[in-house]
Amino acid sequence: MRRMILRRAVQSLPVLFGITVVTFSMVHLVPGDPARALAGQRATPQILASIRHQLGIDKPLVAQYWHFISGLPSGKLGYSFLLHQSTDALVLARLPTTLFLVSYGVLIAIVLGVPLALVSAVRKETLLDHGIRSTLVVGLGLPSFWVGLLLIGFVALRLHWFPVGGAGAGFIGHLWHLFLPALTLALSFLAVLVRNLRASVIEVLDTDFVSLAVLKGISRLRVYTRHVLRNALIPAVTIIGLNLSYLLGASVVVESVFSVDGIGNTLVNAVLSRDYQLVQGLALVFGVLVLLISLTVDIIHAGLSPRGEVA
Amino acid sequence: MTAAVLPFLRGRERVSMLIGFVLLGLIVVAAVFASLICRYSPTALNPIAALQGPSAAHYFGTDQFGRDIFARTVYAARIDLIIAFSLVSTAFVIGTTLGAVAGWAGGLLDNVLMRIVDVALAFPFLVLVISIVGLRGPGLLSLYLAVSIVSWVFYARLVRSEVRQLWHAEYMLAAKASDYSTLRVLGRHLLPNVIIQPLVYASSDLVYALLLGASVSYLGLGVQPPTPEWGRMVQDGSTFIGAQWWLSFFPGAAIVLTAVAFSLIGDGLAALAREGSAQ
Repeated sequence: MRRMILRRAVQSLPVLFGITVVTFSMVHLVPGDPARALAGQRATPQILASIRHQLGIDKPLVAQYWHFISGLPSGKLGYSFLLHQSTDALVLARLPTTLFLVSYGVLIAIVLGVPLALVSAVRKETLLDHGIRSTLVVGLGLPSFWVGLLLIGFVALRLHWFPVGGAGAGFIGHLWHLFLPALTLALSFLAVLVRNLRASVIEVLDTDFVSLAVLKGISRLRVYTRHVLRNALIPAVTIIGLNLSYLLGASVVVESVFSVDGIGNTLVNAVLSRDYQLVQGLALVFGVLVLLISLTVDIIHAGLSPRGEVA
Repeated sequence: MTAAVLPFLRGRERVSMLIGFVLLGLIVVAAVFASLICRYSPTALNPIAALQGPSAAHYFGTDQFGRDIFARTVYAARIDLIIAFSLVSTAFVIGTTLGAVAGWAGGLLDNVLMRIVDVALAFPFLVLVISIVGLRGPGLLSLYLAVSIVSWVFYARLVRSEVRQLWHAEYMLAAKASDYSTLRVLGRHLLPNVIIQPLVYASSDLVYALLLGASVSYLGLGVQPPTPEWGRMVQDGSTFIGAQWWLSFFPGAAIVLTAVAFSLIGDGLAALAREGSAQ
């Protein structure tokens, strides 16, 4: 087990290197002079030179890259010239909100998705199953920005059931304020979850131990909840693990719609206000986050599977 | 295409694929003949008729400038369909080619290409696209370039593994052992067999490309006004969502309808591919 974790960690080192190269080169995609873009057209050569020096772009490329990565281990991710704050301080303050939102969304997706998948699989090829699957086709094409906006319009503004935006304070405040954003996130992922889960539940239903349980005279409900559900939850974890990168991406749009102060909304605002260093730092954080998550999912998987193998 | 494909499908898949084709056909016809369908121009301002609800005169109501939402929604189908199809076809061509070359050549080239794929997949797709669009500056070209830089990797990975698997199939060994030229082996024997999976993937990828283009435009980074585009229209109507819901509702519903059409066709194609490989 320990050797497997070590091997998997070593395997992700080249990817980590790649992530730093990609995010480093991003700023060099900016057409023209980043200093001029920041200072405006009327900046004097002295001001431009001093900004270049502050950004570090007056040095050779290799030296710039070294400067970029040498600060990373100690958490130096750059500086936001517009928010007058270091990127690492911003990430530290706002990442928890994003992680809360994504976990909350996953939880809602499980609560809604697992029963739907079970019913759809147990009542396979009935009217109910067809109904659920047809609804899922619609669910697959729901733009999360539209769903979020409709929830704001009807549930928050008209019915006043939930707040319009923001993240709230404290755990209860988060649960309350982030319910609609988390629901939006869950709906964007529900169709994929139920489709895949339905397929794995059908597989479990066909196995010998389920037939045996039925033959032994155990009640249907008990078979479904104790035997089928438990075995279907493992693929559910896999599906969620595979889609966490997608969910993090979707959370960017959802945070923007509900003006939640997570790193996704910060990224959108940084992009809109051309805060290049902040964009760079946040893209790096997102990349490392996905890398860490997939590493964790692999390790959990190895721990769950009887032979401790890597999928 | 419809007539060629449908006889091979049974029951449910056949019905849903037919619905998908009809739906997409209607949307395409509406987009092409928008000027015949709409009574108003999508950009004509009419301050007197601002923010009117849906009625017989304005089916989908009007926005704060008195522009007809129905006309704007129908005209927007053009740009949204073009975005979806061009994003997918670019990714398909680049990804399939590079994936096939990597799978065929192996060695260093394969290794380098697959490491690039690993790194690209390490980022949430949307984050990478938004960052690149943001750095280049908002606009349609930026959106197109940003997506093209990233999205080919999904196709490349798929095609590479298909090529690797077929590599040892008996008919491939026979073709390689014969005197056929490399080009003939690739074009006649390998290509027709590896192309099915990426084609099926592309049909479901259309849904994703549609949502992606609209999302980026919603964030203000894609299609710029006054060109009517669904995502941007939802954004423009967002300040009115409390009372004048129709501004954002109808363009969003158009996205859902188009996505459903793509999904139904994609599901049908996937079922067809499964039946084909089962035989």
